[in-house]
Amino acid sequence: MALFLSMGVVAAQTIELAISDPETEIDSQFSGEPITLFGSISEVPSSLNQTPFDVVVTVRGPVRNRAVYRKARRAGMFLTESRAYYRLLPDTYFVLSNDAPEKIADVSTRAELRLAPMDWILRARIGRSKLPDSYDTALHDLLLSRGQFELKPNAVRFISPTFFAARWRLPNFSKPGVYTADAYLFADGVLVGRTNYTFGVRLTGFDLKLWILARNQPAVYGLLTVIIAVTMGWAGYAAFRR
Amino acid sequence: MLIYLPIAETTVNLFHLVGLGIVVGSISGLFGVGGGFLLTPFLLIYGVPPQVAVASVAAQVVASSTSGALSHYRRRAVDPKLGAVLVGGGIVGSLTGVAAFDWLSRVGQLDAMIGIGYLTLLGSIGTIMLVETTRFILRGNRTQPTARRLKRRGWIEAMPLKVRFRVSGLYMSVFKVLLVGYMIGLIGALLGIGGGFILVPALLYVLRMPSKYLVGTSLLHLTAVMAVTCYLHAWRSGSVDILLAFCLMIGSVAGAQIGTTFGRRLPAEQLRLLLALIVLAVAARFAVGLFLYPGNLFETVEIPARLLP
Repeated sequence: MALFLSMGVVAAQTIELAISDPETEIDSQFSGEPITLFGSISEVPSSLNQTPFDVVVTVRGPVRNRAVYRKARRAGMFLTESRAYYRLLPDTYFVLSNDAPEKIADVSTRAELRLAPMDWILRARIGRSKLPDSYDTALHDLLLSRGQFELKPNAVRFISPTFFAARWRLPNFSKPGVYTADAYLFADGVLVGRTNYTFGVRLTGFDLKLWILARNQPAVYGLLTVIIAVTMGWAGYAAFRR
Repeated sequence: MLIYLPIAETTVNLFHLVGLGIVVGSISGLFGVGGGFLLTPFLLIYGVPPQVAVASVAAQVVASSTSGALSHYRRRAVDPKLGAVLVGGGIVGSLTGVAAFDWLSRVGQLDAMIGIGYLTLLGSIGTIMLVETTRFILRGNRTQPTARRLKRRGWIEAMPLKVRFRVSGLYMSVFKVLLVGYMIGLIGALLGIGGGFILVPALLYVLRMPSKYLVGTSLLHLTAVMAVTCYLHAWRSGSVDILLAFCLMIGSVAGAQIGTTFGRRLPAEQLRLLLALIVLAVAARFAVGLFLYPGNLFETVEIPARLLP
């Protein structure tokens, strides 16, 4: 249950974050939800008073294990030839910024902060070199095309020079669990502040009861499933019997 | 109307699920098959994880085949004794199949096995049925096209413990029936289907069961074996999404009745011809998947930690 609890605000030296909905609830009608993360920049040093800030916010969903299969033609058939595995890769990953990240920070800074989805793919993969290969690139492209990974270079708007809002939408396939938002503040390409914020997405109502039953009492859940199926079959038969 | 599925962790359209259930349920009631082969690919397109799709379809198959089996039982179109022996073999086969499924997943040859398995089995069964039934219809013969031309296999016929199955008028070794049930359970669990597609032809051609009892007895077997499979999925991995299965069931139990009603009006040979065509269509779908360039050679799926190297 602790998995679903919101973890609260973590203050940093120069940025404070707050979210529009600290705990998003998923019920049967859930079809995605817009979320806004507000950021307030404080304790700005006098040397940076006239410098416009750039902000990159990354939002990571709960982690999952993945396999990537590669097919090849063998004896005329396209069969799975080989596969690669990824441990604890974020199921969803959003990169929100006020401009393209490559315009905000240099390559090494972006890699060090793991701003790009590929950085997380490389970190999650099991047992290969540190350079992206065709499996990593394919996984990256597949997750981007499915909307599980998303790059939104205009999702951060400055409301005032020291106050910004990052907007995105939790997709309808969002997994319940803990989500982490990392906010990075740049001035002239230099990282001048960072903080993070965790928030919960949790099941509620009937969905939650089902989830708990399936996880905690699988034997009862299995029996219940079979009883429901047989009862539904009988009900269908009885309803249509003349 | 959109609905969030708590175990599949995705949102789907309720009306699509119910509609899909009706179509698949009709096919189930008409031919005595589960329909998992049709349903699972649709759910995968929706973004339902494969293990949840397969497990939830098993629950749906239990509902639709219960509905269909009861209808056939009421019309005395089920051989309960032969069905019970089949189920015995089927459950053991299903348990073996689930274990083999896990092993093949670990060694990474499951996809190939499923593709080739479907193509070979359905292709050959569909062709045999199509040829036999077409020949029968063209001749205008009144007797059913049992496997007269198939040679009797000595060791199968010589199996001990012969039993009389009065309802279907058969006299044969209980081991022969158990073996058929076991093979269907094994193949069904391995290929992630109930096995109705293979069971109906097996009952007809191997056990030489009269057409009248084919569908009902097949549905009885499906109900029991898929109930065990569904329970195993729910118990081992909690991967059955009751909400998803329930939405499919609403459509499919109604569809099963529609299918059974239509089945009553169609002559047995026409039913067999239709089934042969559907079996061949499914085989063709797998052939396309196997032989045509897939567009993207890479695919990704979420996997449980136990499948990581």
